[in-house]
Amino acid sequence: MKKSILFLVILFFLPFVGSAQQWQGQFTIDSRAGYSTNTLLNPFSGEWNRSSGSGYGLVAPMGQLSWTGKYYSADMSGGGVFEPYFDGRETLRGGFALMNFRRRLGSSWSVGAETGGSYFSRTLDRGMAWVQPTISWSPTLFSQVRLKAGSTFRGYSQADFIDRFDLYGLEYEVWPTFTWKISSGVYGNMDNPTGNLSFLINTEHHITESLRFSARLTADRYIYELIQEGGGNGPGSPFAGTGDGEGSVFNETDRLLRAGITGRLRLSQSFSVSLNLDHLSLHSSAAEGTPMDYHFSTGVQYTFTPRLNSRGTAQAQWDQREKQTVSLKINYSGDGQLYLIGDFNDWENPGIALSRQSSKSYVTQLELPTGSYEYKILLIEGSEKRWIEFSEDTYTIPDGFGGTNGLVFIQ
Amino acid sequence: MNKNLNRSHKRQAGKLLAIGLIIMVPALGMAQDQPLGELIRSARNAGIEQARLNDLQSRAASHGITDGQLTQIIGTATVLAEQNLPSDMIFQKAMEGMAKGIAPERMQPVLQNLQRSTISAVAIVDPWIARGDVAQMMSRSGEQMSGQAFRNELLKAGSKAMSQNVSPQSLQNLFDAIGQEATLSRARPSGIAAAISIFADLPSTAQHPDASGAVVARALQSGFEAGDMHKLPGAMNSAQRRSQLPATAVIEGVAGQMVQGTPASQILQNLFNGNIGGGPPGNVPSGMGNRPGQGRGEQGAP
Repeated sequence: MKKSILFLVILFFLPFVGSAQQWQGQFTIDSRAGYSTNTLLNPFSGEWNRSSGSGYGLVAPMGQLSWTGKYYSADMSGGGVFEPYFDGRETLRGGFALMNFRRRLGSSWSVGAETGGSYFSRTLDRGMAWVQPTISWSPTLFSQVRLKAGSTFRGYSQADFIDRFDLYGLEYEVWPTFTWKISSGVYGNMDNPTGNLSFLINTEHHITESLRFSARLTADRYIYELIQEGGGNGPGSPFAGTGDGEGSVFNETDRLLRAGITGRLRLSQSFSVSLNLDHLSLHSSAAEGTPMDYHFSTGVQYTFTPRLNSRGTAQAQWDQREKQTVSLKINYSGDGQLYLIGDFNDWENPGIALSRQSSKSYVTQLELPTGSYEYKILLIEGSEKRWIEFSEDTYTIPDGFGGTNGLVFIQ
Repeated sequence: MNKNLNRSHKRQAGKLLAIGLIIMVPALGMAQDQPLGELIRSARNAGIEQARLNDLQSRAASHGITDGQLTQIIGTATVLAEQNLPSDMIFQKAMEGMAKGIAPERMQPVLQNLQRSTISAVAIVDPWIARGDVAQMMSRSGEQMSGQAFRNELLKAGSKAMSQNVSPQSLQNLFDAIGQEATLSRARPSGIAAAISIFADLPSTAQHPDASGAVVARALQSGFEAGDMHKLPGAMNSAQRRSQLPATAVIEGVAGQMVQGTPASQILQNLFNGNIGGGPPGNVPSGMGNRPGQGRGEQGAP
């Protein structure tokens, strides 16, 4: 299983090496510390264990590659997890790889597949793999419905069998404004579509460009057979694996209610801090009382976004800290001297010389009255003069002559 | 009531557009037939500064532009200036063309197109800007932009939209959508000007201009500033290619997390809560054995 995961990860990353033209990437290290009274609430754990509350740490390096074509797009993610527990329990170690693939059918329909695999090792070594074909429909530009159905396989190194779950999910996402997102979903098992069910609702609010806040509520219902005598659990129990005992069989229902909030503050382009709080309660027909669990964590995330395929293009970053005073940073890899030319200097050649800040960035500062300005970047290298094209994330407009200009609005 | 007002505005805009075009057609020819000296006097009388004319003349001379070609450029600007329309954009575009080495015969159609689209835009912009609630928005915003500067920016933006094949009716509908109370109460003049400017660049505008108008209006209602607005076209293009909702890409663009037009962090953000250990959503937890009254604990899980 370990080799399979490694192979998948390598397979995902190979195209990035061979064909960099259409790829973008991002790398993140998630580090945090927290405390929980049930490991089900711990990140990446996925296992119910409330034998004792414990602090834990987490380091999870993750990478993502995105590919976008005319009709097709894909995201490939992979990462590792190192999660030590402070009460002496074994450290959770593992890794995962995911791939989401989509084919656009029109302005509102798309089909695709979500696949993934994970391998985690603590007391037990657990491997999972899943594939879920999806179909998405966007009735408006601000809402989307997704239907997915597929199989999940789960195996343990200590057992000689593999569980298979055929799952479905129906998700709905809506953005009442550009700063509020509400997503919801119902998930179930196709063998018994109305038996074992999960409901999820998540609200996310982007309070500022740097601060986001989300609140989520999950309700899970699991129906299973409990065998009173013989010590084992029935084959229908989703929680306790398979059992082989004999005795009276009871149908029991567990209901899990989870509520959580997350706050995330972006400190800079690379660093964010976060705070997570979760609460869980179990309502079981097989047990008296309502066990409750809690989890909180706080952490720092580092994000690195390499500029791939950017050689020869200029990425313009305008920053206005004071009224009518604006600084421009141009990210550009290449030789020569860069000049800014545009409406603000009546397009007079060669324009305003940009100061080289590093081997890949150039800066200048301007004082300009409020208004919109078109501009270009001119490269002079020896006797050669040429216009530099802007990167995709720089706002450009047609110049009327068959080319493009950058456009900035000074407030 | 609102519908009646909208219809009234549209009728008024249509009439003004027709009158403007009727007036302008002979004026276009007249301006270009005048000798240069006489045209420069007309330009000055229309409010174009002598220094600006001198700049253009010296730049034209250094780029080998003939008096006849210069006459066409100044004539095109003068027509706008005579109607109190922003004529400097003609000068700017001409200087841009010179800097880019564009041949004068290729430059003039671009300038005339700019002139035509500006004249078309004024029929929509002027009635809209004269509204009482727009004036209230201007006074409330505390922005440094004057009323005249706001009008000029709207005309530039409207002209740009029309030169990118946005129909007058679609532009009128956009102004109507922005003029709704819910939008005007949150918007600032610079954001509105930027919103008009990016309208034609949105991927949905060509086929569904009203849907684009709704996107723009919602962005203004969300408090987007001009800089945020400029990220909308790239984000929407990216979202369309990735079969995502535009808002998903837009919010990452606004948060500065969109790289080269692709919101790269979306999935990593979703992984933040680490649910992947349990597989996809809806997957069953792997062991709940040691809860009260039941089976095996961690050590005895499957």
